[in-house]
Amino acid sequence: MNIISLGFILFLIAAAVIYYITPGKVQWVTMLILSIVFYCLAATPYTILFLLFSAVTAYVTGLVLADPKNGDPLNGFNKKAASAAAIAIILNVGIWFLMKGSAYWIQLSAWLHARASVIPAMKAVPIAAAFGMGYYTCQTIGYIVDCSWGTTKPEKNFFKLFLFLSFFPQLTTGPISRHEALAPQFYKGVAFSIDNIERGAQRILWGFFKKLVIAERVSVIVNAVYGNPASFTGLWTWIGALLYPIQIYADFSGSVDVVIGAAEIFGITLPENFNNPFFSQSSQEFWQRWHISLGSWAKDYIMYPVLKSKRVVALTKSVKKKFGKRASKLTSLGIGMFCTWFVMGVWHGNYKFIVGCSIWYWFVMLMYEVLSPFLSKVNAVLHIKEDSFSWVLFRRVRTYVIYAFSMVFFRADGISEAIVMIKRMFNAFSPSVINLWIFTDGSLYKAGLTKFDFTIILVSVIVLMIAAVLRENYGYARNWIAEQGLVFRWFIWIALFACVIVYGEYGPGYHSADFIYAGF
Amino acid sequence: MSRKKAISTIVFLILVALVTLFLSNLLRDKTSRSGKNEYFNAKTDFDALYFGASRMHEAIDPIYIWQNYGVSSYNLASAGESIQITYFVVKEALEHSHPKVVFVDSAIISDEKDEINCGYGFVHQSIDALPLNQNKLDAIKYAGKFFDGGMMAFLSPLYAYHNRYEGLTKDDFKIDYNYDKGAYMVSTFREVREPAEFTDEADTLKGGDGTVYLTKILDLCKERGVQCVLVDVPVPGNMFSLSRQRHMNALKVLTEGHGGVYMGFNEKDADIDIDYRYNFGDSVHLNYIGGNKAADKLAKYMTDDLGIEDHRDDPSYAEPWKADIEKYRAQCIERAVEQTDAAAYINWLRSDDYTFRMYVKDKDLLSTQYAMDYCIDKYDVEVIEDIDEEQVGNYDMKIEVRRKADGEFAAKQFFKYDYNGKIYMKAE
Repeated sequence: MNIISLGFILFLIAAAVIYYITPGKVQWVTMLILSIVFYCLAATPYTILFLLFSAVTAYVTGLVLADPKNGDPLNGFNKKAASAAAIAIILNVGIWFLMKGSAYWIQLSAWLHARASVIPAMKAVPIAAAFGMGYYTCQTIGYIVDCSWGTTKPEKNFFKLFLFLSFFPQLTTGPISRHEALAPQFYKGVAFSIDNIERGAQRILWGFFKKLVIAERVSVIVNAVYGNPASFTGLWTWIGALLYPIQIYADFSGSVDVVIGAAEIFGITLPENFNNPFFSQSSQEFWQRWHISLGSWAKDYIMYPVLKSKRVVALTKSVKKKFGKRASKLTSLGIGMFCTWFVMGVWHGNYKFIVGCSIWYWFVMLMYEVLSPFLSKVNAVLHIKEDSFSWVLFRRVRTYVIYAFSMVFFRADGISEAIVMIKRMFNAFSPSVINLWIFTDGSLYKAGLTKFDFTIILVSVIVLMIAAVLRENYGYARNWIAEQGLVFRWFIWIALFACVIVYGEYGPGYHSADFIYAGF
Repeated sequence: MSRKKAISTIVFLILVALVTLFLSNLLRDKTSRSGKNEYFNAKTDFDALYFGASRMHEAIDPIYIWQNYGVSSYNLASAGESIQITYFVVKEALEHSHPKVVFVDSAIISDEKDEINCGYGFVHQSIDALPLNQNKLDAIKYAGKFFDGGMMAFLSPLYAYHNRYEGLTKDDFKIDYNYDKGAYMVSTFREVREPAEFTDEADTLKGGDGTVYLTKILDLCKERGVQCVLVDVPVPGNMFSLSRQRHMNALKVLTEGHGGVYMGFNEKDADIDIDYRYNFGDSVHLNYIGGNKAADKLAKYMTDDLGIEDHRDDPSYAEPWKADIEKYRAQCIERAVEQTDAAAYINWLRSDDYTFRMYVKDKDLLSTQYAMDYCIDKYDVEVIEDIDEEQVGNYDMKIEVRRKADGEFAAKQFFKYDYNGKIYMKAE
């Protein structure tokens, strides 16, 4: 079940009715049943066994860690508890690697097989992967680590833990929740509140707008360019590359809006996954605002443990002695960021993300750190006012373009196709190729989108920007709307609704693509 | 929840529903309900109803039948409609009227399993006007099996037509009412080939969806005491084949076996005088003139075989029909501008109520347009040559239409002669 579908809306309405007629104390049981029903409707039903297995490993590990005989977070755990936690994590990562990460070993074995035929070329496991495996595996690992650190209490009721991992809205596209933040919300008992419904519906409508009006419309031109790069030369490559970040943002953040809105209907607050990422002035800031739950998960469970590990501490100390404090800091940062980016790259399930995004961003961010003292001096010499609008705008555009380049690897069919695309982008300005006339002779409107479609995209992006500015100043754009008079307030919501049902890309002959981040 | 909040929420939801309804009506394809909507909203009873695809829709004119035979009837056929969808339309129609006979088009009756033989847009045209009830839901459920979006694709016109926003015209903002009693008469001319081969052999039906639903219609009519007639409307030779004949012969056997009557106008000895030069509007459909020939046959069957009375002297019938026909004529005048060439323009207005005067710069060119001489002769058009610029301006022809009763001006249209196509085309 796609969360942008009438089926999902009907499911949500039915779920809300059932949830609110259930007594508060057992609402979590209702939510668990609803989540299982949703899973069976949305995915291959038997794959819920994978989710069940993850829950069992987390539950058993939690019980072992909760047993005082095995130690405690403050004084450390004995070997049995440490082994239980390690085995549970390895099992979860292993299953993920077998199912969702199959591209790695399939492609690697094919590459090796081509060079040494004795090595067999492996094929995918003939079983469907579980729905939302990338998300719940992160939550499972986070739960186990949190239990061992004492940042959350091990859950003694298996079904409650299962609900934490299977909560239906977030299984689709995240966000990745923390046990101590999410689980208690299930048991508090939520009385029916029209405010919850209203806020949830507003957020869902906003998500539909992003996905159906913007993402699906932009995807037409992006798909055309990436689908047949040979026939789109010159500035077309830039159009495709620069539009894709808008598509993926509207798509992914739109899906998360729907998920967060769905949870809000049940009085449950999920963590935000985006915070105006295109307002970022540096790549570092960008990744603090983009896919926040995955970034913070990687930082907490990968980067910090790596940096605190004995070997890295010893290495940085040694570097500090030989090359000074700054070199030590750069070494520590380089190692930490490398591990974080590597794991984030691996999570995306393909080599091209590791190459195009992980290594690229690791390099960009490290270079930024290395060169920042020099760049500051250059700015001072050139008398650049760092808080001026033009400089802030330049930094934001630069961050956007850096991201657009990395996304070429994410969007292209493979690494070699991405390299071809980037070569074409660099070649686009040569006199024999540049085709500036596409903006004036109507060619722009022959790639699948009409002039009116481009107008819709432009106006919608302006609406997104207004919402982003309001969010910067009011927390949420809807908080600002709520402060307005009734007529204007209703006008905004009804106009948004009308835009979605009229300008949304749905209906016959149109196949709403799954969310880009629904496959993880 | 406070009372104030509850009321404000309800008012907001009502507003949202009204906006949705407005957009749904604005954006829907206006052809998708033409004719049918008026039938389902009317409180009139009809003696006969016509169902099926475009061949029936464009052939049988209830107004012609009323004016010549006094039989009250309505055409509920629509383009591209397969017999499966016709079943649901028949079922609904019989809830709104008590006809003595229904005529069902044999055009789209496939004998294959799990095949609808009907395009997505055509299904909408057929079922959009049906009132939302169990029958419509059954129709949607059936059709939903064959198209993306399933039932949703037919439940909401917005789902299908929301992306018409770029094609909206001023007509989309008008509330239109059709007085044509459901028929869509064609006024163009096209010479077609005459059928040449005939056979009496019949296929063995396999029990495909189409034949199953034809049986359902026949059984439903029998149950309601309504005579069902399966009609094979005349087709040109290009649509004719022996395999088609064998299929029709099999349908004839099926129909008669279930208490129905079969009227095959494409059989070798069919009692209908079709002129393959002037009776077709295109390579598939009869035009108004050919359609009336088929209508005569249906009407005679109703009056002679079924004994349906002539209601023209019954004021309860005659007055509403008279009022509707007046409005229909006015609508015809309005829509005459949609006709693209001079012959079609005259044939569109066709009524005995009008006289036609044609001003032309070059009379010799008239006979170069196909069917122009036929039209001039049939409708007794007065042709005036060598007129001055004041009459036709920069154009090559002007047709002036006046009421026969009082000589009052009714309409005019200018035409330009297209030397390549040898046709007088409407001047913009």
